Parts: sequence; C-alpha cells; structure tokens
Amino acid sequence: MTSRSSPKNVQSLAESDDEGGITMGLLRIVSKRGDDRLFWNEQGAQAGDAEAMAALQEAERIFAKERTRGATAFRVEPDKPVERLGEFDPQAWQIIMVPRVVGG
Amino acid sequence: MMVETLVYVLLGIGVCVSLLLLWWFHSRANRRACQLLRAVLTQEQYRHLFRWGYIDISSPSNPQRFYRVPKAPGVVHLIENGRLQANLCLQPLDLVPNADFVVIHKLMIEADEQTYLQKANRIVPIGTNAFNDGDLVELSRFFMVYQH
Repeated sequence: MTSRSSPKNVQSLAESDDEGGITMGLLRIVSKRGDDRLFWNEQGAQAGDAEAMAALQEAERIFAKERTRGATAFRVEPDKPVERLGEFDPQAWQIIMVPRVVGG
Repeated sequence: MMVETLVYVLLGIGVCVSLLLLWWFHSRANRRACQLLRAVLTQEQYRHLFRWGYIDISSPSNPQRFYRVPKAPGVVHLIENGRLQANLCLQPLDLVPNADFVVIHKLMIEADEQTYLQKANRIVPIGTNAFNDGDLVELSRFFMVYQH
C-alpha cells in the first residue's frame, strides 16, 4: 500500500496514534466511548506478516459483527465522496461504522 | 464506633472514585467523538458548526435541497428552495456522545440520502406555508443559534 495524501486533520489524527501511521487502514466504530479504533496494514497482511494478518482478520470480524447488529458502514477517504459499504474493504483508507438508527 | 467511621470513610472514598471514573470516561468519550467529528467535517464546516451551532449539508440528489444539522442532538431541518419543508428526527439506538450525532447525520445524508429520509420521522411544522409566505429558514436559524 502506498502512502496516501490526506487532509491535515486526518493525517494528524493518524500520526497522533502510536498504533499506526498514514499508510494503515482505520476502522472506527461509533459508540458510547466516542469511537473504538482498529488499524490494519493490508500491505503487511499481503506480505504474510502474522501480526498484520491477525489485525486484518480482527477488523473484518468486528466489521461483520457490527453489521449483524444493524450498524451502517461508510468509506471516508480524502477528496472523495462518502460511500456506503456493504462489505469490508481492506484497501479503504478509513471505514466509519455508525450504530443502527431509528426515527426519533 | 471506629468500625462505623471506617465504613463511612470507605463508602465516601468509593463514591468519589466512582464519580471521578464516570467523569473521566465521559470526557474521554467526548474528546474522541470531537476528534472523529474533526476528521469527518471540512475545516470550513467545523468552524461553522462551532460558530453558528449548525452545519448545512447539501443533498447529493437535489441541488435545491439541504439539511441543517444542529450541533446538539435535535431535529434536522430539511430546506428546499430556501424554505423549511420538514423537521427530521433520527437517532442512533445506542447511546453516543453529542458530537457523534453530527457525524451520523452527515455520513448518512451524503452516502445514503434515501435511506436517511425513509428512516427519519418527518414533522411538517404547522404554519410553514402560512407564516411569512413559508419562509421560515431565517427564523429556524435564529432559534438554532440561540438555543445553545
């Protein structure tokens, strides 16, 4: 995965986390804790790195679990329109999952 | 007597620690939600939200339509051709910090407007068409700004 350009806010956020850098994918699940974050490195996983593969599998597992709970997933990438995701995309820059919504 | 005092002191310490933990948890959640909000909004939207208490999100399907999303949880104004058409009410089933409400509205409107409109409860304000020839946008903006 190549290094991608990003708006300053996204970049600084990624850099502020010791867990990952700007080349990693990020899964954010909106919750009562603000959001839960999980980074993964698709390049590492493709190269066979066990830790990266485990992180990717964990991200996929959490994605699937949240989807079964009724959460909606969105792919949020710099300079691109927000897109709804039906399935986990390991190449996504950032996936945000929001809990199930109802009419108030 | 000594034992009773000790019990009261321990209870007091327990309550204080619980309150501190609760406060810490709450402020941490809010901080993270604000970080997410900052990452999702453009700089201009972010500034506008904190200055005016709302942001306008353009409809992807109709250039004449936009949604006025408040900073605090509440109704979203559906405005078309400069006129308030309806108040929309939509909320997550789970408890989330206030900043996340804006994130949810923005993502849903921009990525899946039809589902958003289907799920939201629609409240057509009384007098929308009678008062000031239906032009309630500025009035709603006034209330939205000053309720925070």
